[in-house]
Amino acid sequence: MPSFKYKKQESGLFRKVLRPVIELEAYSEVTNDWLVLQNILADTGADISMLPRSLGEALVLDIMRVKKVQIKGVAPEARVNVYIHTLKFKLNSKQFNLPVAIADSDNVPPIFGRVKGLDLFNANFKKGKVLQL
Amino acid sequence: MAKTYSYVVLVEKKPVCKGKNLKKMLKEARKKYPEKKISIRYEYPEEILVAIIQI
Repeated sequence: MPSFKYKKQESGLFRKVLRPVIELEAYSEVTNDWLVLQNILADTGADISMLPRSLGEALVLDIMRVKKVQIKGVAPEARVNVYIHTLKFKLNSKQFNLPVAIADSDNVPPIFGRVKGLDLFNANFKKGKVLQL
Repeated sequence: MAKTYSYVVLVEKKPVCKGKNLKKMLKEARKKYPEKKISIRYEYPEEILVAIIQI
């Protein structure tokens, strides 16, 4: 069972904050190989996984080949335009197809959400220090 | 940590470049290290992160 130590990061509110970020491998149809993606926020509040635009473009030849849709965050007016693709991911030896919303902006963090992502694992967030998947 | 995002490209877990133009950085890393394992790290901007996403 892979485990990931929370990482200390800067925060505008707390100065420092520990976040449950993980590492995943993703298959790139651009480079035709597996790339390791680091600093992916494991987020039980996210229905779908998300990648910032440049990261999406490193994996998908043409992110705009699918219809653009809008998703929303904690504030209903905060909407993000995204392109939803199903991409191949690996965590340890487990390979899975993950629906991912590729944002049209780089100002969104990479997120590992629930649908066909976190829901595949027995996620155990241990006292704000370690995430086991 | 910066006020805005950036990307770090790592080769065999060692950082080789940092910036915003990920496409260019990846191309250069792949050219220079064709057989090595490449990783990409998104550096978070310094801000409050509340990530709730609804489709």
